[in-house]
Amino acid sequence: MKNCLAELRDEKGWSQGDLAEKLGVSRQTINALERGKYDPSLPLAFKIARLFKRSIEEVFEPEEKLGKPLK
Amino acid sequence: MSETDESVRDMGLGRRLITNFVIAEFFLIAGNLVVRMCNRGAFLPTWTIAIIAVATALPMLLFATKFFRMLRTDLDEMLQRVALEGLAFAMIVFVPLAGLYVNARAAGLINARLDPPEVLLIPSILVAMGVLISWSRLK
Repeated sequence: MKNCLAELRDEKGWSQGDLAEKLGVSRQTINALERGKYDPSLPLAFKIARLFKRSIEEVFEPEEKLGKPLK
Repeated sequence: MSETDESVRDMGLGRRLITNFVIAEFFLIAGNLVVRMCNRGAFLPTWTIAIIAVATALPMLLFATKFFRMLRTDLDEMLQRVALEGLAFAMIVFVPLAGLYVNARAAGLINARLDPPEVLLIPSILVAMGVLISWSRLK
């Protein structure tokens, strides 16, 4: 999953450590999220979106297009 | 808290955990060796040997409790995943190998006898390998 976490963090002028502290996770987790190596759980994704006052879709975007839409 | 402080705290947690594990493992293996020596030489009463056997296993019990608590409260979701993948890797590799060893030994294909030090060390080495594999994928 792609995300614009690094850009959003830069806009705020926060370090990875600052963001980690605000979200209650480790700096390593922020690093893995920004590099797209780790996909967050839904609660963490909501927390991130709320922190930056964005919707989840604005922060995270699936890398591949999803299959057929659900009926 | 700065990035450096955070890293130092995370590293401290990992280092403390490894140190505690090594100490607990040392007590367990040393206790096992002492008990076997005492049994061979028969120079200690049975109840003393029993106390040594139980007492030297206590540090590992304490470590296990601490590890469980750390897994539930101190680690975030990604680090929990790394630890759990490490444990899963150890289980996935150890169980078939142990099964194969038991059957091959029963069939007389293998004569080597695993001693407690090996039996105790193999799962922990496998957990460490599993954690490293999982960590390297996320790094």
